[in-house]
Amino acid sequence: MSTLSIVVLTLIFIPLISSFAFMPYLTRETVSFGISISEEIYRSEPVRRMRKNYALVSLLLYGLLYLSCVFALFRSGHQDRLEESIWLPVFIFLLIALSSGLFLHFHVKMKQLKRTLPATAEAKSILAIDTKYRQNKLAVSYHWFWLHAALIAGSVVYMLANYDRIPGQIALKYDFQGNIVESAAKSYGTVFSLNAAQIMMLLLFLFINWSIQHSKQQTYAGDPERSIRQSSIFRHRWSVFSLLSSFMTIGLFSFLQLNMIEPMHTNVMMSVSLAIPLFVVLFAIILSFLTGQGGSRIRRPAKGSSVQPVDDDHLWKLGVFYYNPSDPSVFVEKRSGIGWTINHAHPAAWTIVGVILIIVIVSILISI
Amino acid sequence: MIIHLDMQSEVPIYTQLEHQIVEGIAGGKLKPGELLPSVRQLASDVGINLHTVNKVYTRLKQEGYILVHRQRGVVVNPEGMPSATSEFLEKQAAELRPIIAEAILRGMSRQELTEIMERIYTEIALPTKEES
Repeated sequence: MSTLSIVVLTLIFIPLISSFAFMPYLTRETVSFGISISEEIYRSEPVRRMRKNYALVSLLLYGLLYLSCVFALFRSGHQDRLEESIWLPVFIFLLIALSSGLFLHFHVKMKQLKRTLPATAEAKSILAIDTKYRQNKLAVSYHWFWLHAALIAGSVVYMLANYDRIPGQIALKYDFQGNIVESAAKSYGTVFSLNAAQIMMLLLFLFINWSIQHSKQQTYAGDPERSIRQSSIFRHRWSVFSLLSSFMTIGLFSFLQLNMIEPMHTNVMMSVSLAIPLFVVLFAIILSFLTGQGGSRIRRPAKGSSVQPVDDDHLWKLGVFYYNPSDPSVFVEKRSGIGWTINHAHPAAWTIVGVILIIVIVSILISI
Repeated sequence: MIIHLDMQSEVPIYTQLEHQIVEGIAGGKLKPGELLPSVRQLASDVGINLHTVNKVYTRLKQEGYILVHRQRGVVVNPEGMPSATSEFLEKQAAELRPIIAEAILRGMSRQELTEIMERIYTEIALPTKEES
């Protein structure tokens, strides 16, 4: 029965589709489809129309994709389980491919549009930097993460104390119907591997908090004070988000560990395991819509500034990938999208991505 | 303080940075003892090489305008600024010479030149530092 997978699909796809379709409305007002422009131009009629077209075409395409996916899942639900589990990844892949293609198309159109605008040709490229930027509260205190550490330590202690109560066979993998797909014999490894994962997550989120604090300042010369205020709130909100979502995710792992001692009803376990990640994703999407990239949706001014932001279009390949060998920054705020991305010319950035990839690949290989 | 840099100017970035910081201290926007971003942080925010920022900070440190602590970071000199020593006056005269020469060449009068100086001085200087 594939009802659960359709529910999961809907709960993920609908907000995801809308965040893709409405992304141009969420970016900074100095960026349109990966091209830097003044706020005035962002709010002008031709650029508004482009955003609207993008949203409409996106919704149409993704809507069709979603319906095909639902149809395929209904069909396969009566057939073999393997087919069912393939459709979700296939449609996520198609979604990403479609959105990339669509974005690139509009990116090229926007580039052409910018060339026809008279104002941008003579505009000076002014960069504004606030020397006091990092004295604002950009990220939550690291001390909050002691709570996470306490939760992990508590889980370890509890599991050690109750180790004998754990049955000889532990379930490792479930499918969407709630049946056990894979189990293993109880050992210190299988029991405490979850804690190892928790510790890795804690380290990851500490690092995320650090990079929110230290990532490159991107202040708009047209209205520096407002830009800094928006940016500070933006960073702080995402810091709070990562604090809370990391706590919930670590909590989920502890919950799953508890499940080893006294396996609870599969429905309860499945619901919690699905609810928590779902909630985190929804929370992120809602936060994106309320805040905008760089805080662009926080207390918008009535009129957009006509000052051209610093022209670094040539540093943003395809409007998405930041490549600047002279820039010592490792993390910069995304130009098209919400959050941060790496400076692809920085070796440390590649190392970080590489390490994460290795961890992911090793985890997949281990579980095969 | 907000630093403004013209990324496409003929004037190199490190010169602009230096001038902006000096002007900031002169005009009171940067107060004695105030924290400045570290070399790494400033280089990252502007998007330029560490060495460029290092060059700026080293020059400002040599003049005695800022202090660079390993642990505590970079601060505007809390003891106040060095006065106009004879060395400084010589250097300043040498820097002003080509500006004045070109002004004369272009037919500017003594008064026009003085007016410009007055205007800029007023724009930058702290009210308390005004000579009577």
